[in-house]
Amino acid sequence: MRLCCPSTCPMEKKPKVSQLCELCHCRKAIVKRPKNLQKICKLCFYEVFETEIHNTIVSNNLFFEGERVAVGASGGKDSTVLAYVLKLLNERYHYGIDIVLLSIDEGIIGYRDDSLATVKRNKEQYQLPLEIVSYRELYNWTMDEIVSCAGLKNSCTYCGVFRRQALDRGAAKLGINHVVTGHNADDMAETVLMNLLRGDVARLEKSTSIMTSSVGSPIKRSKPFKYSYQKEIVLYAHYKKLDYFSTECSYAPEAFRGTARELMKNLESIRPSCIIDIIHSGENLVLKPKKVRKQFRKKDVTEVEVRSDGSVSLFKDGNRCERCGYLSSNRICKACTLLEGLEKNRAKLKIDTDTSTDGAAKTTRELEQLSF
Amino acid sequence: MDTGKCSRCKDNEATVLSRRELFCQDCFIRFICGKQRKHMGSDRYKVKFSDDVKREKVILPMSYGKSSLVLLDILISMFEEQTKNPRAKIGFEVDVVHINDSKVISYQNEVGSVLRKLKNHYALEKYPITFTDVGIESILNTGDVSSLTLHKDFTSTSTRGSSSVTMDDIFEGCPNRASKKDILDVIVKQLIERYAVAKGATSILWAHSMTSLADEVIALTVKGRGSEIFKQLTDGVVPFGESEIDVVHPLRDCSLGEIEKFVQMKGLEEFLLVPSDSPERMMNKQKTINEVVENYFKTVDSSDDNIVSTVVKTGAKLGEPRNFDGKVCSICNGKIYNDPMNWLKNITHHSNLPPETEVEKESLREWLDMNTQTGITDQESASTNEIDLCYGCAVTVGGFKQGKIEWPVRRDAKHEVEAILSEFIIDEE
Ligand code: SF4
Ligand SMILES: [Zn+2]
Ligand SMILES: [Zn+2]
Ligand SMILES: [Zn+2]
Ligand SMILES: [Zn+2]
Repeated sequence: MRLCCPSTCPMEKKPKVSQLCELCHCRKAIVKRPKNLQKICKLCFYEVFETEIHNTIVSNNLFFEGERVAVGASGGKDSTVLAYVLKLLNERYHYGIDIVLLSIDEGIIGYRDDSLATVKRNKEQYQLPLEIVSYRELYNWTMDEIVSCAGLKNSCTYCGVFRRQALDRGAAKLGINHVVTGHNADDMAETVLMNLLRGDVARLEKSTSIMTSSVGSPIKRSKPFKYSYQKEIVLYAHYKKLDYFSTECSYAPEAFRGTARELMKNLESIRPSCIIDIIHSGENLVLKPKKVRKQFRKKDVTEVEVRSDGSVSLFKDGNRCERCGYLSSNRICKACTLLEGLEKNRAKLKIDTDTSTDGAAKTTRELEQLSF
Repeated sequence: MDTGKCSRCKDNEATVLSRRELFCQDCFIRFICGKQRKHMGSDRYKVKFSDDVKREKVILPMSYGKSSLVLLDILISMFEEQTKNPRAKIGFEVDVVHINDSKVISYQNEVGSVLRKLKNHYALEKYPITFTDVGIESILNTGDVSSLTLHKDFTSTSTRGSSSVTMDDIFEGCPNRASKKDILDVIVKQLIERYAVAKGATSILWAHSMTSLADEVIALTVKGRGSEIFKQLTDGVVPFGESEIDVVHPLRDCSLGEIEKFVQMKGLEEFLLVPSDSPERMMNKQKTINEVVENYFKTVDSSDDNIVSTVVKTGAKLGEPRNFDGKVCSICNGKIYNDPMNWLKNITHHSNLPPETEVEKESLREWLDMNTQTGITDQESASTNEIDLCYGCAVTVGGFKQGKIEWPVRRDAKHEVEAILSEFIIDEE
């Protein structure tokens, strides 16, 4: 058994020249970089991994001095490493930002309750403030309830719409205008492929942008891990012994996304660079200029809405939902529309089931909402 | 199948189900031809009534795969039709061009015997149709063969090499079938285009089915060639140097399933040129990017070809990327957009942590000793020039041994840039 640190121990055996790191040529290579298959040592791996993220941050002007930034923290590897690295880089390069952990509690027993415990530990480990916003307080529904009501198939659709809003609302509550998320290069590449496979023309051009914000919204989002391979994030967390939660959500991702992931895995085994290659392609996808006549017709349909009292209103980006005040191009935002459908279903369910316990649960929930 | 009558003629027994519709054999063939006619409906391909109207000169790139055989069959049936009117003259002539890659890829049969069978089968003497075999090695004559190297800092250089380079030398450092296919694709495309220009052709008819176009959209994306999709999926008149050529994909609305049924009905199997490799029996790692994508579509899109048609429609909505750098790639001759090598440089970090301990310092000395001896550092020679590579070609070459490939660099590459510049700069300041 070794009692000292192997990389600095003077008693350490000298590695063979053929085993040396391809970058520093002085320490034993221990990882093959998934990004370019370069064999490098642990210290050089830290160095390139962290510096690449720093470069991404600087060249895209992601932060300004004094900015308050919320890390969307799920307790999973991506956001855990993100919180750790951001804190480290902030100290090393003096970004002068203020980092807060922001977690969403979707209400998924056996998954989110455990992963939130991880985030709470991260809060102590990294000495960062933590804010938790739950679906239950915001929408009066947990994901578990939504799934039992609307079925497993659309779980991620509901969850995605609600999470987007929840992050914005959580940030607004903290007075923060910038949410960073742990989306990595694999996620970006997958999105590019999915948009092509689904024909999602509206998202095609912007799917790879590192910073997004809706028109009129004060809250911007960014993805500092845009060019970081998932495998490198895992390796980094492993060698740094970061505390993260690795169980997958009990509601598996939709089948179609699953097949796209499988495709990417197969492609990556042939050509590891394909993740970056796909992102490069994604950044160079440009739509042909639209034909003017088509555009007119479309506008007529989507932008003019006739209200029930006969008045006509024009909706543009930057309008707000009439129910909840969230940014929405329609009168009622997506989340409220989904909620409406759920409530109808719940009413139906109530007739069939014993409502006494449900009512009790609802009262406590309403009390909690008051304290929120 | 005894599902009932054909839904088109309401007369014959149906033998095919396609897009939820029942067809008899005749109606199905008419249906596929109709899809092809839609894309070749322009006057270029119609019968001519005057002697002084010049016939359209059509190039049909022919791999002797399913789609190109189907397109050939349809074109011959067009000839047949056009000769029915005694006063009219056939409107176009076809040069069937096969890029013969049997030097680098092995086949179960041989193209000569396929061609003999084919000529026996169709009565071709009556029609203006010729068959040309272009050896893949003729790519070596298109430029000065040089060693192209992609360096670690993402710059690339070319060094004039010997003139005795063979096709084997080109593929020497090739890491796998996937990269070989990348290079072959580039070569075939270039040879076809050069041939078309040299022969004064006015159209090129690519036989891709909807399925293989969908494969291309995804495969190009995966290879980092997303900026090329618009070129591949947009039909129309394209300038090639001095000339203009109508590029058409007449079978772009037919799925591979439909092509296969057509092949069966017309008994075209015997004219297929069959590669010895069959990807079904290969490990994933040995497959090409296109084969993996193809297989993906087979598994997700078994029923209605919905995803396939979505992908093709989406690809067809793409246009030319912004920010043309005014440079063309030394390998594929494609335009380069958005300074890709700089992009790579920005997202890839190469610095290292210097040695700290004595052991580490000693290791470094040892490494330096060994590597200065073998001369890994770049020797710059007088005949070394900086070159430009597009992202896709850089990825391919980067995967080659030592990032190196032997390649015929076009002599007129410099002039081509000038030509393009003069085309786009309207007013010089
Ligand atoms: S997998 Fe779906 S349901 Fe589970 S947390 Fe993610 S989006 Fe929500
Ligand atoms: Zn090192
Ligand atoms: Zn709302
Ligand atoms: Zn019929
Ligand atoms: Zn190229």
